[in-house]
Amino acid sequence: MNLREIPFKKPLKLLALLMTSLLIAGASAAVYYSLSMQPTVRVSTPVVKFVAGDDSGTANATGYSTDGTWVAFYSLKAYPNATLTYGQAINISNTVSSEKLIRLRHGTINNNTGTSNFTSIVFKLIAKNGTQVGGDFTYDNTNSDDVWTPPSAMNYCGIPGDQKWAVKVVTTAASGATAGVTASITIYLDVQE
Amino acid sequence: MASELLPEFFALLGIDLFLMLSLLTCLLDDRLPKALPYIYQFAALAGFGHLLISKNFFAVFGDYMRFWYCFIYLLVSLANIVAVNIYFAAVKKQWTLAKVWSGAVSFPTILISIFFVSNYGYLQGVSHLLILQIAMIVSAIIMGTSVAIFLSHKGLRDMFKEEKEVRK
Repeated sequence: MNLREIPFKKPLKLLALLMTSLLIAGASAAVYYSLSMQPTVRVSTPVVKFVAGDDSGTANATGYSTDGTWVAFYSLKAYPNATLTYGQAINISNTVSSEKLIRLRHGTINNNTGTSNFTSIVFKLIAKNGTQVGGDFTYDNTNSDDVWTPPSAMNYCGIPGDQKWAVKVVTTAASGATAGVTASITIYLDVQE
Repeated sequence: MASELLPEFFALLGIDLFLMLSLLTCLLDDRLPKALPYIYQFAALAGFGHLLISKNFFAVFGDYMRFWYCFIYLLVSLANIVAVNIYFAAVKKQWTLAKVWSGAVSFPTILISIFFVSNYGYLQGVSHLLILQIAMIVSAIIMGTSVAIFLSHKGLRDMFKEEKEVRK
């Protein structure tokens, strides 16, 4: 039988195309649905991260350029019976346009025989307009032993989109403290969507 | 909470547009090349294959790359819709059909695509989105109206009349 002689050739052709179209559309929709239902947790570049501040060099801030989610201060100094302030020990940058909730969390701090020379090391989040945001994040050594009391994590506070905040560090040492004693601290930056 | 659009949505939209094109070109097969409906079916099938491959390499490709290859697929399908429109107008000189195609197929599909792309941009936190959205919608409306005016029989007749007069 010659295919050209089949009656209703066009409706048949349309019907065949319609069937295959439904099949392809249905299968594609099913694949898309399975994609959207797939639980995926991926490691990605942080959008809120630590970046260098004006005093990062003097505070010897390191490690922030690796991940941007943690920073280590290897030579924070303190003056006896006075405060020493690092205005921008490190900065926090929100690289996206939406607001993000952030907090500082304790990582590590070294306890050694010189620790008793320190009284406290206080971290403060300073917003773009110069005001402090959230409470103090204080490493305390008021009992003047050689063991630091690390702070609990800060409460989350919102950093607006495309803004850079400073992390101010204020150190205090006891009266008659030995010169040349330093503290090493690692802190983490937690972000909430 | 609104669920986030995946970049693969644009591939899905492209597949559906190719299938729609396939059925429409089958209906208008006396005005178009006979093989066209099958070519569009094959293009939709290729899109489906691409979606399947994308599923298996979900973690390898980043969001950025996934968006671009899906968006390019959508652009190809939109370009085919516009190409059929131009074919009716420029090659076949079927102005009424070209105008109907423009109003019923080209313009709505482009507007729908713009809507979903801007929505995806909003969910991804793209900056200057409002300016982008307004620019896209205004340009789509200008395109739609200018095509409608250009393809109006009277407009074309006047245009060619003027050309003839200039030649004379």
